[in-house]
Amino acid sequence: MRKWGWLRFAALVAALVLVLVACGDDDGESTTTQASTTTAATTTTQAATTTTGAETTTTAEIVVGDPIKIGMIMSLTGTAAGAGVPLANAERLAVKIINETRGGVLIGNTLHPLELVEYDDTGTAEAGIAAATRMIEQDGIRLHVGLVASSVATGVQPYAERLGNDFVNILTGASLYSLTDTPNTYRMAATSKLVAEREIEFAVAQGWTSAVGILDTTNAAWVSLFDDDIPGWLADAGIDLHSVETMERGQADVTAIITKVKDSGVDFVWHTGFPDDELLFIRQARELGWNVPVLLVSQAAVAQVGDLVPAEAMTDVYQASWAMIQDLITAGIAGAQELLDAYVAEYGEEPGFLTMQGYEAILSLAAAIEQAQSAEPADVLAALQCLAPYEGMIWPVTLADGCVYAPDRNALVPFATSRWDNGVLTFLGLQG
Amino acid sequence: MTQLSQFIINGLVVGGIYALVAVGLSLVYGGLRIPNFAHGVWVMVAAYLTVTVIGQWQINLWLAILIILGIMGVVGAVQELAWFRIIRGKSTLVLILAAFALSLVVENIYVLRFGGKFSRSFDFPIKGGFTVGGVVISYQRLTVVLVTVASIAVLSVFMSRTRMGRAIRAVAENADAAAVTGISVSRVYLWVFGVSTAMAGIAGLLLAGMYPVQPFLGANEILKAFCIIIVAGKNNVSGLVAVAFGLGVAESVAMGYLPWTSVGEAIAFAGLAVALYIRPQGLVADPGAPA
Repeated sequence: MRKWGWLRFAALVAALVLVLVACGDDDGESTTTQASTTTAATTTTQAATTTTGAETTTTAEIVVGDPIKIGMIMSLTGTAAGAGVPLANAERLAVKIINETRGGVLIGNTLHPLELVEYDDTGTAEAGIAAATRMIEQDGIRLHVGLVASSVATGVQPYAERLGNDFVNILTGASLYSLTDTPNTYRMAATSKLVAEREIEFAVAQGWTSAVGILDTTNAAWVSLFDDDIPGWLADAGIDLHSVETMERGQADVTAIITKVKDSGVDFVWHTGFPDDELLFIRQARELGWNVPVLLVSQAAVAQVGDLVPAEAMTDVYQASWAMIQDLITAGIAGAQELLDAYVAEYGEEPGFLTMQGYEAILSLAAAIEQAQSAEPADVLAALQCLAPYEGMIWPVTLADGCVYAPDRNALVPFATSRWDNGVLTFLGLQG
Repeated sequence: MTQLSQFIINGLVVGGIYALVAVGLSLVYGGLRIPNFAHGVWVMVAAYLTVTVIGQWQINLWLAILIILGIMGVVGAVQELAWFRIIRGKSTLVLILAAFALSLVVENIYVLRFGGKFSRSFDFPIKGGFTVGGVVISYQRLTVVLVTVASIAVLSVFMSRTRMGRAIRAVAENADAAAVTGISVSRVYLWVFGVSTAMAGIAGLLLAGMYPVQPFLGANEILKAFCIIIVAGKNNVSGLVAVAFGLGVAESVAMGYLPWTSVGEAIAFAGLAVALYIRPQGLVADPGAPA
């Protein structure tokens, strides 16, 4: 290539760099997809001592062993990334906290650091299957914590079924109820079914008697619910479902949907999409003069109010879904403020609405490994069947007979209700 | 009737964006015969710039328009100088692949820089609206339509009343003949790319005020812009504008009255297929030079 051609190319690169630099603040978010996240494993040995009565005995020295790899298939790009990236951050933070505070998980006298190996499913089932293939077949990873989109999780489920006891699958976001029908799949998140039930209870308590449903057609969990159960549940609750309007995740313009239903006279709009889509709907509804109460399934992130939607538009907006970290802080739950501070210090932004899921899922897996005293999937699965409350647990999960995960392999996560007025979120209450 | 009117008003806003992208693209595609698939990525770049200029630096909207125009114009010129000039004269396939390659590179740079999730939009400085016969018209969306019309009008004046505009039309007609008359063809190429990318910049600025900004913004608009150009004719600005606004309205009405949102999105491509079936040379005769 002639010199002049190289100069031209350099000019193009320089122009792009200048434009990139001018597109400033990204709130310090980490944007690279890391192949693995691990703190440096230092080889240290320490003498473990126990004191019994007047005697002090020195037991076996603790040595540092090989890292235990945990796979994370997550929507790091694509239309579900708004939920996936903060969830991934929560998992990364949990791994970091475990490695830095405890050195890892202790099996016998060997301390194994945790290593998070990340795969981007881009929000599509095809990429999720490819990621699962790579994780399982090429990288040989058998412990998995991740998945935010039910459509992706459905694609990965056949792998989980095929591997049986040779695979541990802890879901952090995918809410389709049937996913935990597979015996090796657990969920540290609320199912869509449970969210729907709680939100209908909330609507009844508000005295609402009519609704329009907004359904993200790419959200498999809610599509199945609206097809099969929700109309009947609403009818039983005395709520008339005027219509169900469909949209696609990431759809930029929903003014047509709003125009179609804004004169319906319903008491509330029940939006079952992801936070970005919910906020866009609220923004455009308010622009068209429709100030109807909106009930959200996915909680709006405080950081996005003012960015994706003007603060004044976030009025008469309600949330009656799983408790977020901010709810826990308001409720005075121990450890929540410290976790929030750690998240903000690490990532320079407020956590997302699925932060507790990601954090607790990693901690629960680490606890299961220690309870089983083994990282073999079959042993970990046996421990998960009745996992005792573990060190570092913050989310007040309701224990089922003393076990973190209920017999149906779902954690009974806490719910919180709150209300937005002029961009200010008011916590109303926490329910077990 | 009120509802239908609202659908039409909503559709005109979206159609305005399509018109800006299509008219800008037609300068390069129609004038220089370069199918610049990278045009949509500059919409995205401009949207991110806008969030910084207006959202963070708090620059006045009208001044921001000039700043974005200037920056994107320079970016467009550099694009021609550093990328397309190297392959000038090559086959259409090479041009298409080169444009795709550029768009993928830029898009993925932004994915790495900002992540795949939606970023902020900015709080549009002109708030409120008014109602006419039950139809709500926000000042923001009215501004979008007015800025679109004004931008295209200014472009038309530029193309017809300025020396460079006449030079661009001459090169589009016959580059060799234009060179013989003393017109610097290379300089014209720079200007065409600069003006074209500046138009994409305006579209990006307006989009950033309405929708969340993310690295894949503009991808949908570029495909529809090509549909509009094929249906309306490469060098027919009035036809492009009419088809673009018509498409926006058709999408809005379809999404409003049909039970499936995705049908509205398919209107552009269905319309393209039908139009080419009816009239393979395009619905509107191509005058042969930029208007």
